[in-house]
Amino acid sequence: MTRDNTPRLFAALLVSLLANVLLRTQTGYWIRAGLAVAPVTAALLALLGWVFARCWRAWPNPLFRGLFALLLVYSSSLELLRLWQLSARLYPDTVTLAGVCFTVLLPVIYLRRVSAIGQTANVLLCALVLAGAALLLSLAPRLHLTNLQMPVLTGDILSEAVSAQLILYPEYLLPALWPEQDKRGRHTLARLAALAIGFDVAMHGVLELFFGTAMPGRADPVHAAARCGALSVFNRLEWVQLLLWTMAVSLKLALYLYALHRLCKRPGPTENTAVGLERFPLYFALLLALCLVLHTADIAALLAVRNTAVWFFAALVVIGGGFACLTSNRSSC
Amino acid sequence: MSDLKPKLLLTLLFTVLLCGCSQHTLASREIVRAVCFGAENEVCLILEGKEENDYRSIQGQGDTMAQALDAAQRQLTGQAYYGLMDVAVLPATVDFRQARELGELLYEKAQPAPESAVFSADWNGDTAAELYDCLRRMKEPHCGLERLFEQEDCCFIPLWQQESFGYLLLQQGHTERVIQPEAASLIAVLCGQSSHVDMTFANNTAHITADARFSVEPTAQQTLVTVTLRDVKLSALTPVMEERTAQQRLADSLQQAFSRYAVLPADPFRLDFFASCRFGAQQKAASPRLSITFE
Repeated sequence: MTRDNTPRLFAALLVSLLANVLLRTQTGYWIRAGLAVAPVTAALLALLGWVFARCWRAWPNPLFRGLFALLLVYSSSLELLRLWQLSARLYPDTVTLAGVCFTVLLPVIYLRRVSAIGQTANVLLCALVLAGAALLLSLAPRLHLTNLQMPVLTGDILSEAVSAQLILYPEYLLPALWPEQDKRGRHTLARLAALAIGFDVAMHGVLELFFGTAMPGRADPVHAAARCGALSVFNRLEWVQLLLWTMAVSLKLALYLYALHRLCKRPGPTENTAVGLERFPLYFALLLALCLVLHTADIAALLAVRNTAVWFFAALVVIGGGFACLTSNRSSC
Repeated sequence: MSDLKPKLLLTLLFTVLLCGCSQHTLASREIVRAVCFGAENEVCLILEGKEENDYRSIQGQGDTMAQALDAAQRQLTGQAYYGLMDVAVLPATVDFRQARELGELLYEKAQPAPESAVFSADWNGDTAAELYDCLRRMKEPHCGLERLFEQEDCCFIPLWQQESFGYLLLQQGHTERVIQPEAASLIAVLCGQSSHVDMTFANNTAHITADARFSVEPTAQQTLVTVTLRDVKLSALTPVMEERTAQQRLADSLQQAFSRYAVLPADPFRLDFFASCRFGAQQKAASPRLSITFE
């Protein structure tokens, strides 16, 4: 019996995408509009991820690898900054940037092995489902059907929903880097996009039922709703949510680090599924320095830049890979 | 590996140094249980005392409510902690705009603002702690802070009237003060702030407790709202009042209140929502009617 070394990272990618929904600073659309466009956006994101993976393999080149690595480092620092700003907004004068970096980055040392990422992601996914159920149960008396908005679905409202859902997170591109692609399910990206967009729409639904017309203006809406939930066990449910979100960001960073490791490693005969400990001081220093440089900037603008950069990068790879496919007529295309 | 350990330890030490350990202990914080806003830019903070159910109050005044809140906070010996705040009291004379401003102030200034029930009441510095003690025991009606912002142009806030509660119906440019217990109970049920009726009505001649539910059935000709009262315990408080008469008088009072408030342009009971669900977006509810069922 041989051991299967293929990393199973679907749960990690999913948790990483769900964390984006939970850490949203503002909602993006009304539920009716979101539901109407969700099938299209999910299909588009899955298709783009699939095409990207094909094109990435068709034309491997150092420039793309470097750009992807830069994007991942930039994204990692944004995730840290986003969590820090959320904590600073919710608990002013109690959380420092270094404290957040420390809390989030230390678990990444444990998560340097890909098997640890996969196992932790499964546990975290279960915990998120349980916390979500607890959140719903505790909020149920405060959800009002009449809070649902019934706008006429005009082009503006629909395009707002499309642009809010069509955020191309690096997670949709990461499967292109994983080893032994042929061992993976054929519909991995479709399932990933469908679950992530479905969760996003469902969360918008809950928030709309809770906040009504005030939903678009409410800052940190998921947390604001979570803090109103009180079960007999969790009098303040917000702490459970915050703890889970911090763990989810750690997992996200570990996933990005593993992708960085694959981008930077030299080709060899054996597959190394762990990031070497000797790289951590440099990794920590790099992220801390980036966070220090960016901490005064507007995080929403930085995230918008990230989204544009990821779209631009994906388009570049698709064009380059497509061109390589056409000229070389490789079987991998 | 031997090279690595000092580097890791140094990184750890550097991070711990950056983190610092200068946070306030919980014991040095002043735990705010309620914020009461007064009519003349005055704010009273109800603080938790050293013993259970022991509360003290601190007042502040200013040119604006935000200044008054700051002034009250400055008088505290420790840092104000709003994590356990469960009641916010708005002035009984509050209007729609001011209610929203105070709601925003609570969201922004009193962070972390947890689950808080909002009431409106007349109070003074001597009675504020006592008022808080009464309000925190009230499970229903429950008007969360977020309910001030749920609808674009109106909101309902329970009005504390010592022995019973009324309602403030706040609309842009117009405020209705509902003091009859029958109307207040109907509003509490129809706007989802209560699922229970417990009141003395008909000039204190009868008392009812019941579980209340409602459903809305819109048609092209009318919008039928059915309020169902279950497990009804109706008792006459005077010998001359019969149970059947009490029931009829209650139904009449509820009909009267419904016909007055359901037709307001702000659509306080969101009947248009049900019409939109049935007939398509932006449809208006036709001729609202109330039906009351006792079970």
